[in-house]
This record gives sequence, structure tokens and C-alpha cells, in this order.
Amino acid sequence: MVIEVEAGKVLTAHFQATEYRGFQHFVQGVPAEQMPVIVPRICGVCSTAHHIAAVEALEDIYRVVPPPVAVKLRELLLLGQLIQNQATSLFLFTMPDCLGLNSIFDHSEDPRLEEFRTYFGSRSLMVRKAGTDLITAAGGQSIHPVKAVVGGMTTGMPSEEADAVNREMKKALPIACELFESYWTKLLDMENRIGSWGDSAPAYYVSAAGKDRPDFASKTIYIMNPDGTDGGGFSASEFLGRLTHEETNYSYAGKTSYKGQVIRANSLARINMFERMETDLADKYLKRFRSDFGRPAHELLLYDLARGIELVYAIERAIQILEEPLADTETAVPHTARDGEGYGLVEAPRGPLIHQYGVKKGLIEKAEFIIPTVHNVMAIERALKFAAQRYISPQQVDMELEQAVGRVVRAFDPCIACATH
Amino acid sequence: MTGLLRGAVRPDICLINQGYLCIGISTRGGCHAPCTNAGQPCVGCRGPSEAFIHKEPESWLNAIREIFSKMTDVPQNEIETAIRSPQLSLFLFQFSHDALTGAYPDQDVEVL
Repeated sequence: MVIEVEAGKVLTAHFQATEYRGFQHFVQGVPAEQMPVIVPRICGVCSTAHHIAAVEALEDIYRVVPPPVAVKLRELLLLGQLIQNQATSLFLFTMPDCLGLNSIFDHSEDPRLEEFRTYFGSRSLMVRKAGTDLITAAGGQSIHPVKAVVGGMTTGMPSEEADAVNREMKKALPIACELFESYWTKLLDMENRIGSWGDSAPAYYVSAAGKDRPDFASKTIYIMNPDGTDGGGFSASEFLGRLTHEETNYSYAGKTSYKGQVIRANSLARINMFERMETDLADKYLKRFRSDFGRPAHELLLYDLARGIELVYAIERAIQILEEPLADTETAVPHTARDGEGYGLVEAPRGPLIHQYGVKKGLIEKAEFIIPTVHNVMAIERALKFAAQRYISPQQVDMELEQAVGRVVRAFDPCIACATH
Repeated sequence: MTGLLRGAVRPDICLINQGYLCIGISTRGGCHAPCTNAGQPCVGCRGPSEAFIHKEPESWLNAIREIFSKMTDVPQNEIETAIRSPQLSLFLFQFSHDALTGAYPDQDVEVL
């Protein structure tokens, strides 16, 4: 994070990713069918999204459509990842902000820390674990899942396994709601304390999770205009024609813009677009969110409340799917490998993820990864500038700035490992 | 190898017999085989087993070639080509030194 100040005036704010990974280079020459096993290694947190995006990019090239049961199992994988991610982001990363703590690893005798340890900590981990176990049941292992293959999934989910993870989901649901409601109250308290929701200027929103209701199998990227009107949709292959992706000279992450303007992805983008969640409890929270904050909501810290609605939705939706038959033995359709170019599109917790592969003689000739965090880089920088202007004056730098910068980053929940892939 | 091209996996038969390059037999164990149980060939993320870890990489590759040729009807030279594919990419976690330093100069290896 670099904030450039001259005589008390904030000039620029930059978000820098200073490492370099090089996945797009060293996968050149590998057999195409190995991509779903290689690319999850881009990131431990987001490995599920990369696993599925890789399989779907190859399916696009081979022109193969997976059977419905495989589509459901992949949805479960993405829901598991959403549960795991949103529970971590909400209750472990940003909860200390709400409680006014520096970190959950603080060693002081602060009573608020005691509340975290005895109440939030273990419950948050229980909810998070339900998501992790769902990924394991559907994907074979919790980090770097392996079961998605070109044409479908290697196996279904035996009913006893589905029942076990379903029981865990049902146990996690009321706990997640209780934590979320408590979080909601504490977030309002925090807003009172600091007197700001953060950057609340309008922005474009982008999501590939369905236009007006959640659909994690969607193959379309949707845009919402800053005034909340429909900005249309397009496929992954049209992405580069519709959004502008540019590299910068100060970061390996690059940034995306829409019509030269700031675009936002992740939870708030999805929640702004959804008219309803189509599950009972999540709809109740969405209604409350709408009546309190309107549509579209632009306040930065609402990203976290949006995460909570999604967390509840993901658990409810997972329960729905787990009650359907998933033990099918026909989980994959046969396919013929062929050369060409294809796109995989997945709505990861941080927004639309695109994998674009070119395959020649069965080997990867070209691979591009369009990472969700990159869509948020301009929005992060705008929010940083907003925070800096609030806390920097010609007379002094208010040290609350350090917390404010942390809150900006945690609201967007960026993934640097993915962004620099 | 032929397995990847054919796609389908039978859960009751060793992946090698089905033509997959699976290096589970010579990889350090302890992972409870999540990949092979899910029908995905082992890519050896835990590294070579005790028997190979102190030996030259060449002896591991030779052992794999011999075992594969005994367990399948794929000719030895085809197995040789497959396991020494571009960038030794069938070994995701081993031999990066050999791949990047041109220990196999007859390959079309692009060094960054």
C-alpha cells in the first residue's frame, strides 16, 4: 500500500503486488488435461475455483457438456469454497475491526478478546469447517480438489457421505445466522465509532453468479451500472472486448476497468444484483439489507454484510443440493481431445475468474488467467485514497489511518497469490 | 499416455494398468491417496519415496519406465517419451532442475 502525500494533500494511492509467480509461462508445453491438477496450485484459498475453471476451459475447447449431476457437484464445490471463504473473512479477518481489536492473536487481557476466544472463535471455525468438509466430500480433498475432470466428475457423492456433510451444514446454519446477526450489530457500532462507511461513491459492479438470483453455474458475466440499472451481460470470450485490462508499472497484479471507470466485484457486487436469494433465511437478511441500505448499496463496509448474506445462502443452498441424489455412477461423459482455444468461467468468492487456454497438439500453447481480485484493484485504490484523505490533513496524520487502510483491504478481501499467479 | 486421452477411469483397476502415468507407487506416502481414490493419477506432490530419495533422478525415471512397461502393453520407448514430455510436466513437483537446466537437451524446453 503506497499513499503519496504532498503538503498534507493526498496525491495518489497504490495497491502493489510485488511478487511474481509465472504460471502463465511455465504451463506452456504441459499436456492440456493436466491443467486441472496444476492450476489449483496458484492458490490454497482459491484452489477450488481454479480447478473448476481449468476443467471448463478444456470442456469449451473439446465441446463437451458435463451431465447434470456433475454440474451439481461442481456447484457444491463452489458453495463449499464460498462458505469457507466468507466465514474466514467475516469472523476471523474483519471481526477484530468490529470489536476494536488489533488482531485475534493479540495477547492482551482485553475483555473483548476474551469474548472472541470464548464465543466467536470456535463457532466461526465450526462454520468454516462445514465448508471445508463440503469441498472434501465433493472434490476429494479440501485444498487442491481433484475430482473435476473433463466431461464431469470422477465420482459422485455416496449417500452416506452426503448425509454426513448435510448434517454438518444443518448444524452450521443456525450458528452462522447467530454469528452474522451479532456481526451486523457490531458493524453498526463500529460505523458509529469511526463515523464512516468508507468509500461510498458509485461504481460499476461485475458478477458471474447470475443476473437477479444466485446461479453459480452461470456462463455469463453481468454488469450493473452505478445507478443500479442493468448494464448487460457477455460471455467469457467477450471479456477482453468489454472490460479493459491493463498492466501497471508498479504492481504485478494489473487492473481492470469498465468504460474507463471503477468497477467492483466480490460480495457486494453479487448482492446488489440479486433481487432475491431464493432461500428462506438469506432472503430475510437480503430484505433487511435492502431496506436499510437501498439498491445498489455503495458503502464499502457493506461488503462484509453482503458476505454474511452469502454465507447463509451458501449453507441453505448446499443443504438443498445435498438432499438430491448425488451418488450417480454416470458422473462424466466421454470426450475426444482436440486442439483450439477455450474459456472457463467461474464466480469465485472474489468475483469472475476466467481461464483462457490455447491448445496445440494436445499441449498448452497459451494460458491466460483473469483473476477476480484484479477487477477490484481500481476500487481498492479509490477507497484507499478516500481513507487517506479522511485521515491526512496539512497539520497531521491521524494514526487511525493504519486501521482504515486495513479495513479497506479486508473489505475487498484481495487474493495476492491469485492476482500475481 | 493413453489413459488421459481415453478419459474414463475404472475404480477397481490400478491406474497404471489403465494407461495412466500415476507415480503413486514410488512416491512418499502418508497422504491417504486422495487423488488416486478420486480416480486422478498421482503427481507425486510428497516427493520420491524412501527408496529413491537418495538416488539420482535417473534411477527413479528408469524404475518408473520399467514398472510401466511391465504393467501395460505400451512399448518402452513410448513410455520413455511420455515421462520425458516437455518440461517433464508429468512430474509436477520433481525434476525441475533437470527440466530447466537442459539435462535432456533433445527436448523442446523453453527456459525463461
